[in-house]
Amino acid sequence: MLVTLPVLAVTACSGEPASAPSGSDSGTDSQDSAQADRPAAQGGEMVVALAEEPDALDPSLARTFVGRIVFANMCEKLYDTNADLEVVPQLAAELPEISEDGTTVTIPIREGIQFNDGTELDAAAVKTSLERHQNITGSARTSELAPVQSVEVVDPLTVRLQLSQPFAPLTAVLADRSGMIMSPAQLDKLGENFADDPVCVGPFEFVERRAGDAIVLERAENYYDADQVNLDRVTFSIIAQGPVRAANLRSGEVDVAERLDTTSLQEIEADPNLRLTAATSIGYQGITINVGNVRGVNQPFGQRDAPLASDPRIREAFELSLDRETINQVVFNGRYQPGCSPLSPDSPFQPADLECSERDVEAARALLEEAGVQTPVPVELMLSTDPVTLRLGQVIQEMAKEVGFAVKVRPTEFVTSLDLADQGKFDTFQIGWSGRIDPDGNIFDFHHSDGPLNYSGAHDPEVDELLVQARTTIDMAERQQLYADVIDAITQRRNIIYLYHENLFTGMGADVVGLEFYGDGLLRLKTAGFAAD
Amino acid sequence: MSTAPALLGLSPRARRRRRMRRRFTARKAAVIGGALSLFFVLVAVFAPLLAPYGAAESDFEMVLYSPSPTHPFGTDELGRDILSRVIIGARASMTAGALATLLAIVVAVPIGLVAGYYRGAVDMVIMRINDALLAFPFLVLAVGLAAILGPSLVNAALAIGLSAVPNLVRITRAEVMGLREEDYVDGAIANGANDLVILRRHILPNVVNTLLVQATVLIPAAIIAESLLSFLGLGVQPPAPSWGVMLSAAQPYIAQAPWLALYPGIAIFVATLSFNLFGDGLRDVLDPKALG
Amino acid sequence: MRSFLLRRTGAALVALWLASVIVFFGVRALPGDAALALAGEERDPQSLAEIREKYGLNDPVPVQYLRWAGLVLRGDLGESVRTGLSVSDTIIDKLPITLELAVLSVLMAVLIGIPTGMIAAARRGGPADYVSNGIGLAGLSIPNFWLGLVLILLFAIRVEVFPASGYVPFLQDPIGNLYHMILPAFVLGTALAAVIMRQMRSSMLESLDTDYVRTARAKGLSEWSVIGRHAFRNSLITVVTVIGLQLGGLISGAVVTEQIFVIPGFGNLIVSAVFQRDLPMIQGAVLVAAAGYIVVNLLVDIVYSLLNPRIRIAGGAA
Repeated sequence: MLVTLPVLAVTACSGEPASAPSGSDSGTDSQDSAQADRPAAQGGEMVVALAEEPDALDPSLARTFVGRIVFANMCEKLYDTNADLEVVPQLAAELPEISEDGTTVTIPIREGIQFNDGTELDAAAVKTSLERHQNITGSARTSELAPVQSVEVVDPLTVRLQLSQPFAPLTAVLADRSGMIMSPAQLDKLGENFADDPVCVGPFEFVERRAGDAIVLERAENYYDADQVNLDRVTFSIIAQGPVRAANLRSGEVDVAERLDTTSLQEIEADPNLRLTAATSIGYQGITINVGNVRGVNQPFGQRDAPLASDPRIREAFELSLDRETINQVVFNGRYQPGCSPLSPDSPFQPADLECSERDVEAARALLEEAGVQTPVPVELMLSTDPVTLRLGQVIQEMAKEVGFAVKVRPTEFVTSLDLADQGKFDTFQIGWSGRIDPDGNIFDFHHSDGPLNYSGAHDPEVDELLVQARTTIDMAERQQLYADVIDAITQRRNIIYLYHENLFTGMGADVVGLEFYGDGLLRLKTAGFAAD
Repeated sequence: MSTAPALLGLSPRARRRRRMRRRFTARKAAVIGGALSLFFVLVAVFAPLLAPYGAAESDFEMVLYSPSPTHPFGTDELGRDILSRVIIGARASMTAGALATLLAIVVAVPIGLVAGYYRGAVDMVIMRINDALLAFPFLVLAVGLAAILGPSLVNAALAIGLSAVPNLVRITRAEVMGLREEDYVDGAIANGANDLVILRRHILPNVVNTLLVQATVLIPAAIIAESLLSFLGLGVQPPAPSWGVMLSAAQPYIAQAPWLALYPGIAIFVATLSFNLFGDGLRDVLDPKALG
Repeated sequence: MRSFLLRRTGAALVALWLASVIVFFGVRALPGDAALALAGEERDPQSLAEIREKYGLNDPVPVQYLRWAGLVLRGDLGESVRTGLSVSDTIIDKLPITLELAVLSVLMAVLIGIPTGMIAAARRGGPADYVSNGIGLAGLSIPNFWLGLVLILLFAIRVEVFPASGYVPFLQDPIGNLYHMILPAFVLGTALAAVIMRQMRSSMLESLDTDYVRTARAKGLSEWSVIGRHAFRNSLITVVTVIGLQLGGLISGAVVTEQIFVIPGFGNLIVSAVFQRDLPMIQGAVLVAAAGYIVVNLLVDIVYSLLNPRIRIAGGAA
């Protein structure tokens, strides 16, 4: 299996412009990479630069994406995701067996597995962890496990979940933190302070954590697959600034750096001692338009008198004013994937025939005229304050201006912007989603009338019906069709205008081998090591 | 005294003023500083007329071009003319400098007057709160206030001005306490003059010099603080230019296109330096005991 | 003396208490719901409710304050809501890094500021005076975040002499540690160097004007030995006070410098805590900073009053 997806090298441009936008060919084109397939030597310490500080290392409480990168190496789950973004068994022996009515889910557990502290993994341990996920105060798992009504130990290696209704995303949910099983012995010892010294099943075990600085893991002796593991030690070093992660990678202070800025890529590609891999994120970025959120999310909807909210033709004109390709070129040096869907282009649920609208100034103007709205049409765009997003906002502003929109950019600190979005105090909001493996996780909460993240205040019984059907249908082909219908409907509704999918760039030393990295953005270091020669 | 005959026909006040002017103009650096400060103010006022391009006028075909005759300072990451943005950015800096200083004085002086004049319990309460506020360094306070108020130029100026208040209260109070002991104040009190009159006629005019000196320290500090707040995303909001905003946007390009960071940085530096030079000269004249 | 000490200490305690109130309520005045900040992408109503319950965010703010104050009085600053780690342990981890930066920058400031100040005073009105005055003003006027960027460009990117950023613990690699600290310490030290230089110059000028210096000169001592022996020693006290008074500037500067050079110190801790709305962490860190400032100023006052009893009678802290 090809695990790393090297990017085509883009040669630096000489001459006047410091950085001519490079080609858009930098996506996930796979290229045979002999380099990455060299055998690894035993031992060594790998230093991995993370872009953010993880939160509590407790699978029940953890909420950050970056925390999942650490967990991926010390807390295995019932299920995992493979390079094709399919769910595969990890601690479970097989995919779950789902009853005819979809409400009984039986999960067989692998035999002979020990937690990193030597305790046996059995059905009782699974039950303990799942119930803790549901019940502990402060849990971040209650919502995704809400359909699970009870967990039953059938025999030492089988658990059975009773659901209140069929819930297709469950397997994917169990391939994330909800599926992480914690050592019951350690839970007895630490209780709610499990994060002080987390013990799970994993290729590495927790050693120490220095706040704001580093998290250190060590090879786990009790791991069932220990002979696959090469490294003795993994240090996650927290380096929030993108250019600094890149600089430290170049200077060799770190071996691997995740989520590099598009502006740092050229110099890394040019460096013979470094290698770059990329994967298209399973998430998306877009503009959420407030169409009916006047009193706050999950409050009664209302009619806003802002132009974009009042007429779908104006929203369409707005979308037609934007050129996704130029956005990609100017803002991201052509390194991302323009897109118009909530799903990653690599998702098995992505409709094959989906085509994004092209920029069309004339058509957009015609639509505005048809809608009888007075130009310039005022639009307020709330976005976060980091330089790249600001750049994005200004490009959108310029493009929309040509059609007749007066976009006012309103940079807002991220937490504040979430608060305003939640209260419905915004016109449009540039925000994205890091993505979930199951399509439900990228769509339902944002588009269902009662969705907790339905910032746009969209409400349409037909879409709601489709969404519920899609999450309770188990058959793959049927689900694919349902999601194609959903995407069609929300594209027409335009309460969220999807713009692009990020490519996640991970840089590493040329001697780093065996690192698995794909669209979910996690760094799986189980088989990673330094090249033997 | 060779100057004596020339002074003969003048009132004592005019004579003092003239002496001061002479002392000021004798300091070349201070004169240059004053001229440059005036220059920055004028640039800020007439910015739209001076700037060859609009501040938000972008050209996606001309992104990150190094300085050239058409764009003497080069273009930025969105193909905007950096010279124009530096010129228009002067507005934010000058506004913040003036507004913050004015606000600090308007808020702090009455408080300092009351504390220093009435002393006792009023002074106690004011000064304890003031001490507590002083425990937060100026910039930390400014950053905190700006975060609470929300990002905008006016709020940044507010935050900077308010952060300067505690120190200014302390200085004003100390000055007033000293003046309170002067004979003429005692005399006025004995004559039964009311407090407001005493404060306005006898105390405030004597604090003015100190305040002017403080203002010359505050303006450049406020210019730097504004650029820092904007740099941190807590001040002027893009696409409106401010030197701090430009620096913050330039940071990722520091290796690739250093001119993005160079010119706004130089602008902040020179503007601050001019106000400091000017202030130094003014201080020498108004308050010879102070630093110089 | 005893009553002065008591009064001054009492005032400091009151200031500290008020500072804690200001921090606590100020942090809660920050826009943006702390629970939302903590929730990250898991911001459905259920998760938010769990967070509010776990961290007592539903209680009235005064109740929250009393609970926190109770903890603080027992020497416990609580737990970071973000990482779940102890706030005091985290601060103890970070503080030495920033202290090292501060000490190095003061050292640098003294090494630059004192000699230039002396030369300027000794050569008053001469070219050396102009030059050092100019450098002094420039040091005051240069925004340190920009200076940081320029130095990184010059000495880390163009000529790769120093690392652009990062930190190596002193105990792990003393040389590497200093190597990483040189640029940041210089950036942080410039403003202080300028202040010291100006203060040194003016107080030297003053003491050069005093009777005993004139007497010393009359005795035929060389100019430099007059400066070295008499004027210098006198001016040193002023310089020490200036450093004390500049503590606040140093703390602000450290916050910025740590951001630019990515030093995982105390300043960085505060900034990231603010962006993550890690309320216990902001409260703890800012309270510690305020306490440090208040204590240092109290000590300065006491030392001063011992040296110069008149201040005590005047009853005011300068």
